[in-house]
Amino acid sequence: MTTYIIRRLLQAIPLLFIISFILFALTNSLGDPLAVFAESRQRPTAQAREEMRRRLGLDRPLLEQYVVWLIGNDWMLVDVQGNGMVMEPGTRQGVLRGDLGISFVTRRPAWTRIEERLPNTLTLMIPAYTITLILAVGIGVYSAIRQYTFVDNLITGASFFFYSMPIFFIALMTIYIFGVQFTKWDLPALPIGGTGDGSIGDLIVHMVMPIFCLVAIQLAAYVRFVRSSMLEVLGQDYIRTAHAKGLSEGRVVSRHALKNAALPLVTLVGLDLPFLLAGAVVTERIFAWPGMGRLFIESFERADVPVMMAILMLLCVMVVVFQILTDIVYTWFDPRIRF
Amino acid sequence: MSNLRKFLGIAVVLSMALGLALTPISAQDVPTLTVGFSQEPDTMNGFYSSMAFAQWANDLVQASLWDVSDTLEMVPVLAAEVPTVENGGISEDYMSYTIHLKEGLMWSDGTPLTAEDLVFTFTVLEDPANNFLQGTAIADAVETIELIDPLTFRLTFNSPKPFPEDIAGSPGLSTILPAHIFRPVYEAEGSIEFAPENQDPTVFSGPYVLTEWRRGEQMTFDANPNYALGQPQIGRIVLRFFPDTDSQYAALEAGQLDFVPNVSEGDKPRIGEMENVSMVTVFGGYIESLWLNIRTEDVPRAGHPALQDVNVRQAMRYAIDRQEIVNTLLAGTTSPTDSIYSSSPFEDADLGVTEYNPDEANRLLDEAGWVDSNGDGTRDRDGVELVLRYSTTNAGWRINIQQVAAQYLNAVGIGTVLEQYPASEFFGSWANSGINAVGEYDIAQYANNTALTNPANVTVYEALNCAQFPTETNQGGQNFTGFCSPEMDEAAQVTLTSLDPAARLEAAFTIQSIMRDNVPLINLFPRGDNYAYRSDRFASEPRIGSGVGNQWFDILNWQLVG
Repeated sequence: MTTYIIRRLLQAIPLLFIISFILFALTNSLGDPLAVFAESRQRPTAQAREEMRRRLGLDRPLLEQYVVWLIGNDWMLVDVQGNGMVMEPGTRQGVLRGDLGISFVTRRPAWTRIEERLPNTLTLMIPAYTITLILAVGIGVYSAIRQYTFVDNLITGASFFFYSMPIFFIALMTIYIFGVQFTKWDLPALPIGGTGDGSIGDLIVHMVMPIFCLVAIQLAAYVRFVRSSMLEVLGQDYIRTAHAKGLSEGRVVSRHALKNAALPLVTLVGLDLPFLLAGAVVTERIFAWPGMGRLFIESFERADVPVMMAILMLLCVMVVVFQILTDIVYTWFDPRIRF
Repeated sequence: MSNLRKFLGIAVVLSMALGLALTPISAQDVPTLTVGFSQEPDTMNGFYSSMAFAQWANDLVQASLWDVSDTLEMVPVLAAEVPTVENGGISEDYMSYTIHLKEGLMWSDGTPLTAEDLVFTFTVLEDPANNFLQGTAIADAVETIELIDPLTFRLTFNSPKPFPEDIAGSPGLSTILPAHIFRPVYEAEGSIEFAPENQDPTVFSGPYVLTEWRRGEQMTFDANPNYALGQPQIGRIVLRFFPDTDSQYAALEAGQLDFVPNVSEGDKPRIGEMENVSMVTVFGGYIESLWLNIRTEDVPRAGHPALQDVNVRQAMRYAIDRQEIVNTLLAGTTSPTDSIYSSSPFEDADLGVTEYNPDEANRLLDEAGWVDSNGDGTRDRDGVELVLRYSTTNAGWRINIQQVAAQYLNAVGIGTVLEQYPASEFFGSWANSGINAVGEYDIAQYANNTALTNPANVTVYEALNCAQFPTETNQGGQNFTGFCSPEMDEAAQVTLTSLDPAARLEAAFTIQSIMRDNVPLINLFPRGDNYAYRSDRFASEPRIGSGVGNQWFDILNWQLVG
């Protein structure tokens, strides 16, 4: 097992280099970080803009920018005016030395910006995902063992209804009903946007609408997945054997069926978990939730390459880590699997 | 299954408990104004930002030497008086300003605010090591900075400077740095670029102090007891960040926000329908326009050959019913214009506005030789179809205007290909293949600046200047249209440097008539800065500064009810 993990980690290194270069090329082609000046009231002069471009290293070839991103530029001089008159030493250390760069927008370290947002994202995403999983397993199992009953059909119908709805629509409708209309009807309205005044109670109240939307949109797919996976297992011979042994239905379902049906679910969860860190772009935006999804979009809009790269690389590393963790969890669910 | 029932039971109980916990937002002890911002400020040092929202947040905590009011009058704040030639503050040759501060000024931490802080600010501004985004024009203009006494300093320039507001007051110098905070950093690091105070400021001069900044969520400001003009009546201002306009407006409608700046033109109709919500519009200094690509050099891309002909450009202006666009898409809140100085004191009232006249457009196009010879519905000449690439940013209200304007052009036989780009691509540099910079358009729709307090108009002296063509050797060039009129450049110089107000005004009039006749761009309408506020929260309509100055210039007199 240890050898396996070490092998997988070593394999991940070249993979991460390749991904990082592709992402770097893509994020750098998104636009011009200095374009924000175009319509501003006080534009810096053309010369000042050129100097900014050189200080940020944006005038250099892409490959050189990538190398600087990796290993920093504190070993070289930056030609600020492009004529060799003003040479300044570089200040960046590079990702390999733990420096994810300085945000073009706020001039603060990219990692600091992530640190501020990550807890908010996890506060929203972990409860939403947990509720989704619990409800998905409960509802999925129930509708599998009661296949084609009225309740199963109802659940299937509702699943497709929510699955086919865009998140922004659910989110805005929720805000409109529980935020705007409730106020007009003099009912206790839910707060629109933000995380509240800092108290736990207020935080929970502020989480209600975004979590409801996240669960509503994700639940359907998971319910359908659990249901089909359970149906497949329930048709197996060993389930019939378990029934024949005289085990109660609850025991058959929980001990024999669910554990086997959970294996594909673990794969799915393993793939999804790293993306909890990425936050929910649309939900965070609509509910003004200060999370990672919004940070990414804000960085995207202003072509803030260091922050975008930091977020994307964090996700890449997490995907690799969770893939390995998923493999380990497999062995617990299915003792036949050996690495 | 009992487990499932148990779980569902607990879930129901929990949600009921949560329901009980929901109480209406409690009344606060301090009168609090809750403001919705659609973007979060990127820094609290105004020299490092070009964001309007950062400027607005900064203006809450930053006092200027003087502000510009909604009626474009100068209102002294830190300065004892606005310098003029008459009061001796400005030398006869406009080469130096002597500025006196009020007595007894203090930073929010109680440290005296003196001329030394101003001298330090101008000194730092002069040093390129600080890598400022703002103030570069001032840095280029100032020759020497002298401290005369603790309340007086003098600036000397390298050329006459007829406009004190551009150099020292708001909007020119909207940030004054506390020397006692920044000097140690500057002396130690040689630059204040990464000073912690830029991001987490602790010392302020404006009507408020920043007491909390929850990143990505909100900023809280409390009244500054040491503000030069006294204490504001609204004790606390909370700026909440709503990146999504729909939820922001929902919060305004639900009364969870009191005040929303930067309502876009396209959102005016729906704001107008909300109960207890009113709007204030002040002129923002922008004119939405269609910029025409009349470049001829093929590298990187010349505009459509038809645009070379001034008759075609004039025909396009006749073809678009700008009044109808304003009426239907902007709720009739502004009017079309042909003047680049529209709504400013320098507008030539006799200039007139080109009326919508499709017949005249057709006549001009026919005369220019562009006729539909192959019957495909689009005019052509010598085998070249009159189809124009019409680009804009991906802002929804702009796209609406683009689609309607394109239909008017189509109606007179001008074909259009509509394109939309993210702002970072649309306004990108030559090196980044920015759409405007490399001329990948025939019509580009975005705003030009106008001038409010003086006739020196950046659109004229930079974006339409003969020397500003972007080329391989001048990649930073700002004249993306390729329009060149030496006569207009000469007039632009007069607006920038002449010491005679009458001559400056005359030059502004010359510029307006050259632009009306030559149509390098088609002005659509002046854009306002629109503010929505809860009329049930404000005691009266708030006075808001114009786009050129400080929107909070009258914040001391704002009053809340309830």
